[in-house]
Amino acid sequence: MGKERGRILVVDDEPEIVKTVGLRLKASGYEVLTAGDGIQATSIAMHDHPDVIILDIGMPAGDGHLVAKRLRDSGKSMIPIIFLTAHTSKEDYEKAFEEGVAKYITKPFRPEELLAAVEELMERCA
Amino acid sequence: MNAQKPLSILIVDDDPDHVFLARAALQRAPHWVVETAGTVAAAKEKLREAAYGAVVADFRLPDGEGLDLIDSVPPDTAVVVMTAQGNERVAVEAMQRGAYDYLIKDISFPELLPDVIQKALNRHRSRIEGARQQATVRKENRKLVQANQKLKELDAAKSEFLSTASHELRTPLTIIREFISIMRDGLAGPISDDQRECLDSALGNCDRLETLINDILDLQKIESGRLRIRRRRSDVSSLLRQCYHDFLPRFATRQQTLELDVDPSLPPALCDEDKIGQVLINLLGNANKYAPNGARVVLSAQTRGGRLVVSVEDDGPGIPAEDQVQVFEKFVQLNRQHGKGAKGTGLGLAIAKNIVELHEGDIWLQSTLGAGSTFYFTLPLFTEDRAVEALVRDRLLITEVSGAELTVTLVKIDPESAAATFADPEARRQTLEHLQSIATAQLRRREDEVFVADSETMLIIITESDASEGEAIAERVTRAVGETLGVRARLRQATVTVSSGIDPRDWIAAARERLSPVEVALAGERSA
Repeated sequence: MGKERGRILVVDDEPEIVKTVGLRLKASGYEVLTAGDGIQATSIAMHDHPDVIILDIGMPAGDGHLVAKRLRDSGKSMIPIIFLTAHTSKEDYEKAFEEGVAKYITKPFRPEELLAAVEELMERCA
Repeated sequence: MNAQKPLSILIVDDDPDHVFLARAALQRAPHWVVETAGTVAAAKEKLREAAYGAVVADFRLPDGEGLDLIDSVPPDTAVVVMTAQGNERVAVEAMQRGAYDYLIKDISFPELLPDVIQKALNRHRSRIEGARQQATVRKENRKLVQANQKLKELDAAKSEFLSTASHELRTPLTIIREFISIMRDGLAGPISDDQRECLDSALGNCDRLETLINDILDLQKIESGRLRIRRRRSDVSSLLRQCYHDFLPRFATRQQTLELDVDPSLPPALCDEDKIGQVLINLLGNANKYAPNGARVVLSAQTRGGRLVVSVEDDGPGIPAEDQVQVFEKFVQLNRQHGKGAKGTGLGLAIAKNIVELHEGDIWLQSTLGAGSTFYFTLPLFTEDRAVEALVRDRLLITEVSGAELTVTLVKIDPESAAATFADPEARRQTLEHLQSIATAQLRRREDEVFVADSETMLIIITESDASEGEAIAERVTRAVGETLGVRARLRQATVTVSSGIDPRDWIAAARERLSPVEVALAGERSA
């Protein structure tokens, strides 16, 4: 395959989630960056310019809400964020949209749904 | 008088004449045994040695006062103090210190003595009995409060546990599901058809586990009163149409037919569409799962008896009469015995029942063995009154748990006073919608809202706030509405703070009665 379709940052404190999501994305032709906590995620997002960020909410060092806020405050708000989380409460969901998060997908997720969301956001940015 | 255990009475007096008279007087009461003492010290000695029903003590004694005895008398003994004539002040003091009665030592004292003692005994007995009962009630009450507190803590712990458990279960389930799915899609190398079948089955069971986690959480929310419903005017026919289309592919995979039979003139109902959608998903999901391949299922709705009746009918095997009652109970799955391959959580109908009941509707089943089953549920039809009542009722269910206060404000507009704006139905609708958004902008909380009672040209504002904050919000909203409508608009407004335990209709009625004109302050442009 030639050039990648886009660069996606996958952030989750569970390495196996990062691995499975990464596998899916790579199989669909995306370049994948990974981070295991919020601090790492913020730094990678700042320096490596991903097209889309797939972000967990519940993480020990800097949760997803905080990462989303930090990125927006630092002027990186253009990078669309997909929350991929085991938090299913309506409050989390509504908070995410107030924060300007583009998609909210709950675990366990359907790979088709995640890929469709990534694709849609890639198109929106193009 | 019935036979009683003889009661000892202690007379404490140093005057032998008085003692003699007292003894003589008490002899007529055979159930009393009389003992005497001449000094405080002797009386204390006697009180230590034996139990007395009553002590009758002279105020003035050689080695002290009769009152000194009060503190040495055990609690189940009544005390009567005798004083010389003209010394009532002492008597009052004696009563204050715990004596039951007093007796003036005059000529009539021997005659009165038995009666005074009897009364003192009675009063003492009832006081002790009362104190005992009060203590029992207090103790029971304390126990109930503690038990209630304990239950609340347990319930909170259960909710917390379930929510954490569900969250913690999701992560490993996601990883399992994803690795299986990656294998199944051949991303980890080619697989055979047999292997794909195995992996499909594993995926199906991951989904089943996920549904179970979701259902348990839902049911827990419902049972602990934490499920929020927001009932609105709802076009149920379009909700049914939506469900029908969503389910068509699933029915097709089992060669079942799904038909939709909705009265085109179906009036609007009052419901939370998300939640009733969930009920429909559960009922249609069951029909799809439990009716055999090739079955025919009909989803229909009509009005009957002033209610909206929705039904899901199948021509499957039916449910035996003895099982029909328990299908709505938790974890009951009839098809575990009656069929194979049907996979559910056993919670779907329990959840459906709870949701329908939150809507003040009924849910039931009609089934004949071999002739199919029909599940019915009802919803109230929409009326403005019902909608307002539901609005308050639904919010009360939440504030009951959170402990917040709820304020309802009515802002009634006199359409005559702003004639142009309400001229024709379309303008009226637009104006009311505009006012609704103007009023909504004055609210701070996401849950707070403005309802338009079209027929009354009234805005009903429900906010989670205490009385003073509620008043402030009411004022802001009224001012915003007034400013929008202009100086000539006549508005009337009322605010009530609502609490649970009282029918929401009564609150609304109370607020209606309190409606009073408000001045729309527009920098003095308007005169009263």
